[in-house]
Amino acid sequence: MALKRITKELQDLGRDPPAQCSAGPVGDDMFHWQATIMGPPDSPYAGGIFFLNIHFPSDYPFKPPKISFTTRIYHPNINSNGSICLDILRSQWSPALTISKVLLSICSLLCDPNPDDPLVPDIARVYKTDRSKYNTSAKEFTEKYAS
Amino acid sequence: MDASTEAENLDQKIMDQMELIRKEIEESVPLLSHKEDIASLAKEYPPDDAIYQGKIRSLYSSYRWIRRTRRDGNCFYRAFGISLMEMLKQNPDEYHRVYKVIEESKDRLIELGYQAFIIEDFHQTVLTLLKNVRKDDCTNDELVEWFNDRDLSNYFVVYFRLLTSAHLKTNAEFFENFIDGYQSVKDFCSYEVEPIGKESDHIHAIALTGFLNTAIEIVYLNHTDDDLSKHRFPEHSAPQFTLLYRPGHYDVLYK
Repeated sequence: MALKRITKELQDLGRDPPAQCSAGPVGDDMFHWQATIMGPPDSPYAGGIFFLNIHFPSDYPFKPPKISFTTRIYHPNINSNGSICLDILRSQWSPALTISKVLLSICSLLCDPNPDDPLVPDIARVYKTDRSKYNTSAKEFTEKYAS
Repeated sequence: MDASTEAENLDQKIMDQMELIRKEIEESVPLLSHKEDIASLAKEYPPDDAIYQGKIRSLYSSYRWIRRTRRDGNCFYRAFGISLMEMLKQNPDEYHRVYKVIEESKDRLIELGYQAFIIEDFHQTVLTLLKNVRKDDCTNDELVEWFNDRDLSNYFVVYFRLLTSAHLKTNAEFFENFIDGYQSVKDFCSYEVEPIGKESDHIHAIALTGFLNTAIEIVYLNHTDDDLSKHRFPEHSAPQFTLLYRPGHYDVLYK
């Protein structure tokens, strides 16, 4: 059942790709995908191209996909290992969600970080107290790692 | 180790621990049990607990059997599901009415913004179950077996969660008054209804029975010093089946 669903999602991404994102399998393994997100224009990540790894569990869609950034990024909810703190990838996952919706949520997270539930408290503190310093650091990371 | 890696590891540890507990429960209890004598309930509580033992004795006067569900957060939907199918098997008029509601529900979900290609698998699974129910040779044991097939059973749970959500969203103005802690009915649905494993409450029962236009009774067995309480959804209706609620859990009751 998982494979059927993953195949459907891939077809849908081909038909109706979300803005600023793309995703597809790495090689022949349908349970392992790579995705790219273009840094949203109205964010300090603009101009960057970010790569992500996607692993579908064998009981997908009942369990959420495992998604992590492979490109370094300066963000309060994404740590240096690329782990993402996003509720829909944890307890709020629903089988009615899709990879496409998740990627769009990650794009929104890039525009609007959630500093009250941070994965990297130091960056959250900078985001809350010194927005221009946060913008500068995020831009620097984007130029260094994602361009 | 920096603070973020530490937080991530802790997060992972909590998830691993939850998974372990889930597996233990899975191995010890089926998703749905066969009917058991209602007397088996008494053994779950200390013999000298006058409140529970008294309430269980008063259950005996109305109910003979209990069907247990696994405590995995989806118990309401599985208890509701098996009871609904057993009732529909006995009642052709209701069968045709409910079949039509379910058949047309996919379009209502699409109107509400759910993606057709995602919901059609869940929808189709429930329709297939309903078609099986109608067959003359379909036994209750087969229905129980169906609900114990993890994939099929979970497809059912997902679809009935979406129907619950659909009713809440369609009647958002009314339900807005009952969703403490959430800014909108939409938020409530995405946090408290649609994720698999989220426990159900009064509001879920009102919404699901509302969507299907069915009537159920829930008997509350808890440790309060009063009589066994019974609630009908909708109020004053003639219930088509009965669920037993104990704090955090639903099972099925039979006369």
